[in-house]
Amino acid sequence: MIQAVDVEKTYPDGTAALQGLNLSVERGEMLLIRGPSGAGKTTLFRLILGMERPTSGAVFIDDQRIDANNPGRVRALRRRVGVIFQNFRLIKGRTARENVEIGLRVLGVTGGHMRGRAEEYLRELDLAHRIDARVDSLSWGEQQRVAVARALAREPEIILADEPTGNLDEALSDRVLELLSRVRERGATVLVAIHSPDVLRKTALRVISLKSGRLVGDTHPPAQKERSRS
Amino acid sequence: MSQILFFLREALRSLRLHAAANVISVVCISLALISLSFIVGTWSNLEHILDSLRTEAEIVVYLREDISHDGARDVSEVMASHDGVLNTRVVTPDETVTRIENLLGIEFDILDMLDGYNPFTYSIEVGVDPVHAAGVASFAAELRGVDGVRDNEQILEPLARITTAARWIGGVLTLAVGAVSVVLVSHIVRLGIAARSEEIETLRLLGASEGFVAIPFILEGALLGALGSAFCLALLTAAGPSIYQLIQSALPFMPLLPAGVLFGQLATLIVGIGVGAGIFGSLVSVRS
Repeated sequence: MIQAVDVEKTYPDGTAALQGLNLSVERGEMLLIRGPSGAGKTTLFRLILGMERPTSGAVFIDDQRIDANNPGRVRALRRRVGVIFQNFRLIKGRTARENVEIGLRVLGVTGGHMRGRAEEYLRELDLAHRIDARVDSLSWGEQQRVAVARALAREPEIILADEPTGNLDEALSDRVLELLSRVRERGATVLVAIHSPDVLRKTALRVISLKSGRLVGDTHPPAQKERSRS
Repeated sequence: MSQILFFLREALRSLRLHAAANVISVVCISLALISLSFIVGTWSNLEHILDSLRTEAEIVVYLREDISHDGARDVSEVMASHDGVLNTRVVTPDETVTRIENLLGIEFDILDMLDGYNPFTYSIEVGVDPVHAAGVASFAAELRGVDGVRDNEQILEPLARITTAARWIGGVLTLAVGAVSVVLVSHIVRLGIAARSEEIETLRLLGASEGFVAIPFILEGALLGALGSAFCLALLTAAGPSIYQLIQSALPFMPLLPAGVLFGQLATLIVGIGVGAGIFGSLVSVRS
């Protein structure tokens, strides 16, 4: 589904964000990506989203190379993806509902179907009482949940979640991860950048570790190891 | 239909959300358009004055004594088909006498003095574009039956130079102010959009098409331009006619354009430039 082949990304200031990264994520797999700040997690997401081009190597989705110079292809790809950005990227001046709805509207989902789906996911994330509040007036944690709702409501094939639980308490973190798992059960491929030791300790998911742009660990849970052996 | 309403709502909402900045933009757009109106108004009037002068410019072609009325009409028709000739008119010897009598006084009778003999010949008054006056005069002088040409060179030549110079200067000035207005209006709209570049980027990251991203901003630019135009028109409607009347009374000898005609032309121009520049500015900003 998602493949990174010998990916290098060096920024103009000389920072090597990714070095020789080889990674393969199967359809319907949920992958946790750990690593300290600056390890390359966000850069990997930016490359998958076509926001940047690798310095060398390539990223593929369904065997299709992501080419930031091909806007039509990148746009088509982005419509298949739900992204939870580290800085949320909510549209200021709009309500929580409108932020979720706009994510659906760009996909052509409109009318009652759009409103219903937006409400459903906001309620799921305990935001029923803040549904018509402007996002500027929401707490950091509430904004994060709006960002999660926007990504999930699109019911995408791929979810890229950059620190989706960073500002949430344990109960809400668990809720978000549970929602991501449910999306995965529906067949979506989910990549989650995370650094919460609690989450990582109790997870039964595949975890890769990045350090200074290099892949330094790839731990498969027993069940998946079995599956990959067979 | 629901998407069109959405785009319109988005544009209106954005105008409301950034009300303070948009009010300043509307005022600035209006000021740019008022400056343009002033220049275009002056230019239109100058053109009108020059047109009036042009229609009064003429040369006179005197025909030989043996040329009859029919012969005069033939020469007049040949003249009428020449480049730069606006109109021709045959003047009979009797009409010439009457004119001279009118000029000299009511009681004067030339024919009595000349024992009934009319010494004047047929002549043709030729209305000309001053720029072509010299060419028309040379052409006339070569025609059969023509005795002489009064080409009014001393008046027509400077008038031709003034007409050409005024047309160039006025045209260049109008174009320059028009271009500055378009750039200014579009830049004002661009500033508003640049402040929202993050929102545009987010929409693109969500997979929005370029049309989806651009249409609300284009509508917003058009609305800003329209509001600026409306404000400018309101100011012109409130103050324009009285100012124009003052100018008309200060220059009674100048054939200025009627106020209704001038303000009608200006209204079309103001709305066209305002809305057009707003759309242009939005398009350029969203694309960049």
